[in-house]
Amino acid sequence: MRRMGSEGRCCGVLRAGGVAQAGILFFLMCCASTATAEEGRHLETVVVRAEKVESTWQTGDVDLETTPGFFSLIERSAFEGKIESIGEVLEKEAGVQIRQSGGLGSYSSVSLRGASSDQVMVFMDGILLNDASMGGVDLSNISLADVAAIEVFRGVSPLQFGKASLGGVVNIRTLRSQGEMRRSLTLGGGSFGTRNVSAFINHKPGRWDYLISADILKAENDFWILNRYGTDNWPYDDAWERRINNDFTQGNLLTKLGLDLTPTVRLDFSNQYFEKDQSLPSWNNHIDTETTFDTRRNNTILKLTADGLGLFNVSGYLDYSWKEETYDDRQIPNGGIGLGMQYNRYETQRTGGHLVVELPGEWHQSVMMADVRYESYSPENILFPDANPKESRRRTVNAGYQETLFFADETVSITPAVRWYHVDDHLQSAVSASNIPLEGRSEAKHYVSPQVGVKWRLSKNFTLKSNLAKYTREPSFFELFGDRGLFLGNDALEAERGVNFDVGFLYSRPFASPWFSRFSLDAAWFQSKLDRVITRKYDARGVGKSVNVEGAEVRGIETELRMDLLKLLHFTSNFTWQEAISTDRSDNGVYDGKKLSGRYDLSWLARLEARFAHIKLYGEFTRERGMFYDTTESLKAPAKEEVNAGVSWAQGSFLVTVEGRNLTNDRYEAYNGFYMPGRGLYATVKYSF
Amino acid sequence: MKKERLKLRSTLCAVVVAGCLLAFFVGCNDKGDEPPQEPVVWEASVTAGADVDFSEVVGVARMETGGWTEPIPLQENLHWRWDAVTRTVWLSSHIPFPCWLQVTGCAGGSWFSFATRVETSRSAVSAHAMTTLIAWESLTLDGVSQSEATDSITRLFGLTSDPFEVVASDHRTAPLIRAMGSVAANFKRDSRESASLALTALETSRLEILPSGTIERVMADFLMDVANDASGTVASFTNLSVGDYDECSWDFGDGSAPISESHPSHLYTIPGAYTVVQTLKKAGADVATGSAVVRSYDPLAPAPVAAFFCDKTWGRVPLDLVFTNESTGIDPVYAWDFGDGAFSTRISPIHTFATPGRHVVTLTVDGAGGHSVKKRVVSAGAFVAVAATAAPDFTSGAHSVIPVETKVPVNRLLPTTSDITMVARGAFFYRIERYMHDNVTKFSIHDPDHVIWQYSAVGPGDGSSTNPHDLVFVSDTKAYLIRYGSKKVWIVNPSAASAEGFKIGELDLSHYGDQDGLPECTRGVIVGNRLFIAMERMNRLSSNGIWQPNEAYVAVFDTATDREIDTGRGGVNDVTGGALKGIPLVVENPISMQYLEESHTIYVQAVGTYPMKGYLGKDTGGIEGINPDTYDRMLVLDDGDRDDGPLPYGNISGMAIVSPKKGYFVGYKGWMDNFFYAFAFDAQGRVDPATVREVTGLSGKNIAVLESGASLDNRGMLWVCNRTDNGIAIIDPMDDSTNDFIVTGLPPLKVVYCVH
Repeated sequence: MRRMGSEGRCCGVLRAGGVAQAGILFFLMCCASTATAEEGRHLETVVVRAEKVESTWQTGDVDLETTPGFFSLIERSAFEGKIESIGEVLEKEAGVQIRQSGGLGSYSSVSLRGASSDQVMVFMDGILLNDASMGGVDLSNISLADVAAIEVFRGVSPLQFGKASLGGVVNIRTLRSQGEMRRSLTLGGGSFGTRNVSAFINHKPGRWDYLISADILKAENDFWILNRYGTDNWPYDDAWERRINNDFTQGNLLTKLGLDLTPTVRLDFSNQYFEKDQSLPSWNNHIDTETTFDTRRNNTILKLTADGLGLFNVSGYLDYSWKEETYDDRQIPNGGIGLGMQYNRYETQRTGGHLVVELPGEWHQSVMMADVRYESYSPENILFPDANPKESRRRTVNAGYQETLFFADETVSITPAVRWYHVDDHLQSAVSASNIPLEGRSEAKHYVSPQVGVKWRLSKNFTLKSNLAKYTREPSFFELFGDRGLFLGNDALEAERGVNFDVGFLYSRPFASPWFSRFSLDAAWFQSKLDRVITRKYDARGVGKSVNVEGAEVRGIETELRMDLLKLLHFTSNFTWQEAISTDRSDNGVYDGKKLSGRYDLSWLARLEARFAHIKLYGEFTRERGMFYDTTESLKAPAKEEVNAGVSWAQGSFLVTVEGRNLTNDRYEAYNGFYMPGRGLYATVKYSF
Repeated sequence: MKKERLKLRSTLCAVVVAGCLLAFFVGCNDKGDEPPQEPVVWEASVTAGADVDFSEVVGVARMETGGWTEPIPLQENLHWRWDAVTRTVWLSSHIPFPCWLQVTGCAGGSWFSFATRVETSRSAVSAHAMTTLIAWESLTLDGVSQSEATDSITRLFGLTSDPFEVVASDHRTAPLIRAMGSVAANFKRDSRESASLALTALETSRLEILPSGTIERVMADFLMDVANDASGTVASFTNLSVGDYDECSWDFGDGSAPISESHPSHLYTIPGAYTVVQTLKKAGADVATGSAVVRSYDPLAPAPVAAFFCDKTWGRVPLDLVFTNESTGIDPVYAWDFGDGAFSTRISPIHTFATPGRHVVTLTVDGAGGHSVKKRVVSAGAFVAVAATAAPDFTSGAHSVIPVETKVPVNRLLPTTSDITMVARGAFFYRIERYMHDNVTKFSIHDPDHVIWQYSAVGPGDGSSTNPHDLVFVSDTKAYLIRYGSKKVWIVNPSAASAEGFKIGELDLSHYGDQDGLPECTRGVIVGNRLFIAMERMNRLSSNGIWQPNEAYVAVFDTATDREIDTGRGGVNDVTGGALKGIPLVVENPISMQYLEESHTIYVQAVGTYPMKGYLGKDTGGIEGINPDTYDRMLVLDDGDRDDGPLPYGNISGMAIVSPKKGYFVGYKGWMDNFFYAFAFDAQGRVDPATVREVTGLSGKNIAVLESGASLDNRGMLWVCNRTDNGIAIIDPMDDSTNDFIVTGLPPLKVVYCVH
C-alpha cells in the first residue's frame, strides 16, 4: 500500500488504519458517491468501500486502489439474504459468463472475457481451487454462505495470486473477524423444494477472536421441464415432466480463530469443511436414474501477517486441502447416465506455502511473492479394484515480483510485474490389469509471465487504465496423461500461451441536482491472442487426444453504467460485446474464423433499484445471445433471458428478503437435455442478535 | 486364429456343399420354357355363404416379408376369376414371390378382404393360403376382446409371436375397409400356432362365419438338397411342415411308389425334370400338399457356365438395357430374373427398368450337365449420395447431399449432434442419432433438410439411452431398428404418421446378454426373408474396467414371423449357460456387416480389441463370411497372429466388399493413422494376402471406421470417408486410383445412396 508507506515514512510505523485514511482521501478526490458504497456490483470499486476494507483488509490482499487491472468487487450486501449460487452472482458482471447445467447446485463453470474455464484461476482466501487433474472449477461446490466478497480480475492478475492464467482471477474471500460480537440466524426457502438454514457468530473480545459460520442448503430441483426425448425436430412427442433425480444437499462449516500477537502481527487459523450430496439426472429425465456425485472438501490454513517488519509488510501461510469426489453410476442397463457401470472415487490432496512481501515506498510499492505447492490426484475404481490405479502428482514453484511506480503527483502509476513458475508433473507407475508394467512419466516445464499496467488519472472524474500481459496455462493431468482407453495422453503437449491487452476508462461525476445526483460510466476494450491452444480431437473410432492447435483471438468491449436518480433510484447496466474467434487452421480450416463454442456475443444486464425507509425494491433483466454449442458454428444456442425482481425489508434485527427469479419462465437449455429452472420464488428471514 | 484356420479348412467342404445348395435354389427360380411375363398362378379359397358372389376386386397390396406396400394397379399385375361353382377365387399375377397378398374387394354387396401367401418352388406354385372373409362387430382373440382396441383396426397380423398382435394399419385400403360400416379383417397366423376366435358376425345370412373354437392349420413345407454323382442325382428332402398331421407322404414323380417318411432321399438315374409332391394326412385324409421340381442331370455332360454382358449397368429410368448371353452348356435353358419383378427366357433379352433402385439381374442356365448362375447389379435411376458428417472434435454433426452425376455437394444440412449414422431406402434417407440422442429422422432426397418425421428410439422400460445403430428394411412399412444399448430390437413402421405408430413390435435378444445383460447389437442385414443381427456381446463389467468382448454372435430371424431361427450352429451362452440359436463368430467385436448378392455371402467385419495403454488387445479381429442359407461361416481375413508379431494391418476397422473378386478394408494402426487396403479374394473366397496393398493417397489418414465408411455408388466407384482431408475420396476399383475428391463441409462418417 503506497499510502501506507507514505504514512509509515512519516510515523515510522505502518498501520492498517492508514487504509481508511487513504480511502477517505481518495474518496474526496474522486468525489465518488457514497451511494455506491452500498451498491453490490461495480466494474470499479475503489475507495467507497474504504470503511469496510479497513476492518478486514490484510497484507497479502490485493490493493484495489492501486491495481491497474480491470476488476469487479461483489460485496456480501449484493447477495446476503438471497438463496443464490456463486455462479448466479458472478454472471451479472460484465465480461463474466457462467455455464450452468441446471438449477441451484448444478455444475457451473466460469469464463472471463471469452477465456475457457480452465484459463480462469479461482481462489478462495488465496488458495487455488483449480485442480491439476482437470483444470476448471465447479463453482457449485463453493458455498456462498460464508463469503464476504468476491473479486473478479479480468485479464491481468495481480501478483498476490500465486498463479495467473489467460482469463483472469476470481478470488473468493470468506468472512473475517471484526471487532464486535455479531450473531445471526437465517432461515430460507423457496421453489423446487429449496431450503436453507445458516448460523453465524463472530466475537473479538480482545486479542483473540473467533468466527463460526454454518450453513445447510438443499433443493429438490424438481422443476418442470419440457422433455423433448432427443427429438428436437419433432415437437409432437414433447411432454412436460418434473425433473427427476436432481436434488442436492450441501453443508458448509467455516471456523476461524485469530490472535493479534502484536498490533501489527496477527495469526489466523481457518478451517472450512464442505460436503455436498448431489443427484444427477439423465439427459432424457429417465425415471430410474439414481446416479450421484458426492463431494467432500476440507481446507486448512494457518496464516501469519506481520506489518512493519523493518520496511516490509509480510504475509505468509501454510495450507492443506483435501477433496474427495465419488461418482456412482451403477445402473445397467437402465437408468444410468453414462456408458457402462461406474463407481469411482477421486481424491485430491494439496499442500502448500505462500509468502507475500510488500515494500511500500514514497514513489513506489514493491510486492514479492513466492508460492510452493504439491498436489496429488488419486482416482480409485471402487467397482473393479483390479483396475489400474493411476496417481498423478504436480509440484509447483511460483515466484514473482511486482513494482508499482507513481509519477506526476501520483496521478500516473505504472505497474510492471513478472512471474516465474516451475511445474513438475508426474504420473505414477503402475501395473495394468494384464500384468503389464506401466512406466511412470514426468513432465517438467517452467514458464515466465511478464505483465505491465498503467493507470492515469486525467482528472478527478476521469481515469484511464491499460494493461498488457503474457500468460500460459499448462496442461492438466487429463490432457497430459490421458485416460485408459478412450482418451490418449500426449507427451508433446505444450502449455497454452497468450497475450492480453486492455484499455479503458472510468468516469464518475456527481451532480447537485436532486433529480440526477450521479452518473458514472466504465468501459474497457480488451483483446487477447492465444497460441498453442489445447483442444481435444477425436479420430473416427472415437478416441480422443489433447493437441495444440494454432490458437484463438478474443476481442470485445465491456461497459458498466450507473445513474442515481431522485436520490431513491439506482440504475445499473452492464453491457459486454465480445468476439471469440478460433484461428485454428487445422482440419482443413473447419474451425478457422468460427466462434469459440460456449461463448456469447452479447450480454446485457439492466437493474433498477429503489430504496426508501427500510425497504429496497429491485428489478433486473439479463440477456445473453450469440452463443454456439459447437466449434463449427453449426449449433446455435437460443438467447438466454431472465427477469428477476425482489424486495427486502430491514426492521430492527430482522432482514426479510423475497425474490422472484426468472419471472418470464424462460426455459433455457444449457446443454443437451440439461435445462435451467423456470419461474421461482424465494424468501429468507435473517435475525441478527 | 491357428486352430480356427484348421477348423475352417474342415468346413471348406461344407462351403462347397452350401454353394451347390445355393446354386440349386437359384435354379429353383428357373422358369423353364415359360414365355416371358407369364403369370404365376396361385389359389386362394374364400369361405363364404352360398349366396355370396365375388363380383369385384378393388385393391391388392403386396407384402414381401413384412409391411404392406401401396396398392398395386390391378389391370397390370393381377388377374382374378370367380368360380361360382367351386366358390373359389382364382388369382394370377406375375408379382414376385414369395409374398403375402392382401386382396380387397366386393362380394355380393359386401366388402371383403383376405390375405394369402404365395410361394413357389421352381416352376410349380404352391399356395399356402389361409383366408377368410369376415365382417364382425366384435372379435375375441385368445380370449381377449379386440373390438375396442382401436377404431382403425383393419388387419390382424398373426406374424409375430404370442400374444397375438393387433396392428392398426395406415394402409390406403384402411379407409376403404372402415367405410364398410363394420370392420373387416383377415387374419393369418403361423400355423404352428392356434388361435381361438369368437366372432359375432354381421350379415350372417349371407356370409358363412367361422364358429367359435380352435382353428388349426397345416402347412406343407420341405427343404430339398440335390447332389450329382456318377450314379445319378440324389435328392434329399427335409420335412419342415407344420400343423396337426399324422403322416407325411412323398411322390417323387418318376413313377416310383410313394413312401411315407419324414426325411427321405431318392435317386434319379434318368436325366429329366420330376415333380415331387409332399402330402400331409390326418386320419388318412389329405390336409395339405406341397411340391417341387427336381432336375436330374447327365453326369457325363459338361456343366454349363452362365455368363452375360450388358452394354451398361446404370442410368436414369426408364433404363433400356441389352443383355448379351455369353453362357456355355449343352441343351441350355435360360431364365432371366431382372430383379424388378420381370422375367425372361430369351437367350439375349432386352429389358427396360422402370423402377429406380439397385436390381440384381440373375441369369440361370440349366443344361444337361447341370446349372449355373450369374448375377450382376444394375442401378436404375438418379443416385444421390448422402453422407453423415461430424466435426473433427465431435461437437456437432450434419449431413451432406451429393448427386452422383454432378458430384456437387450441398453440405452441413440440419446440424445436430455428432454421433450419427445414415441409412437410405429409395428416395428417403434416415439419419440415426445415437448415444444420448436416440432418435431416427426421416428425410426425402427431394427436400433433404426438411424433417418428415423424427421418432425416439427409447420406449417404456428402456434405459436412458438405447443407442440406435442401424435400421434394416423389410419394406416401406416394416424395418428393424438395431439398438446397441438395449436387449431388444424394435420392429418399426418407417411410414408411420405418428410416433405412436412407429414401433410395431420387438425382437428379444436378452438371451444373448452377457455379464452386463446386454448383447450389444451393432448391425443387421436382410437376405431373403431372414434378418441377421450381429452382436458384440461386450462385457462392460470386466474387472480391469475395460470392456471385454465375449463370443460374438449373429442371430437370425424370420422376417415373416419375427421369430428366431435355430441355425443349429449355436452353443450355450458363455455367461448364463442358456442355449443359443444363432451363429457364433470366430472374430470378436463385430462392427459392420455387408451382404453381397453376387457371392451370396454376408461379410462381418470385426475389430477384435484395440490395443490401449496397459493393454495389448487381442488379435481376434478380421472379416468373416456367412452363407445365409446354410449358416456356414469362413474366416475371410485374419487380422494376424500374435505369434507372428504385431498385427500386419493393425485392427481391421472397416470394410467394403465390391465384388466376389475384390474388396477393401481399413487397417487401424493408431490414432489418426489408418490405412486403406485393397485385396483380391482367392478361389476359396478368402483374402489373398499376396494381393493386399495400400491404396495410394489413403495411408496414414483418419478413415471412418466406426462402421464401414466406404461404399459403392451406382457406377461402381467406391466412396471412402477420409476425415483427415475433410471429404470423400472416390476410388476406381479397376485400378484403385483416386477418381475424384468431394469436400463435405464437416468430415464424413458414412455414405449411403438414395435413388429416384
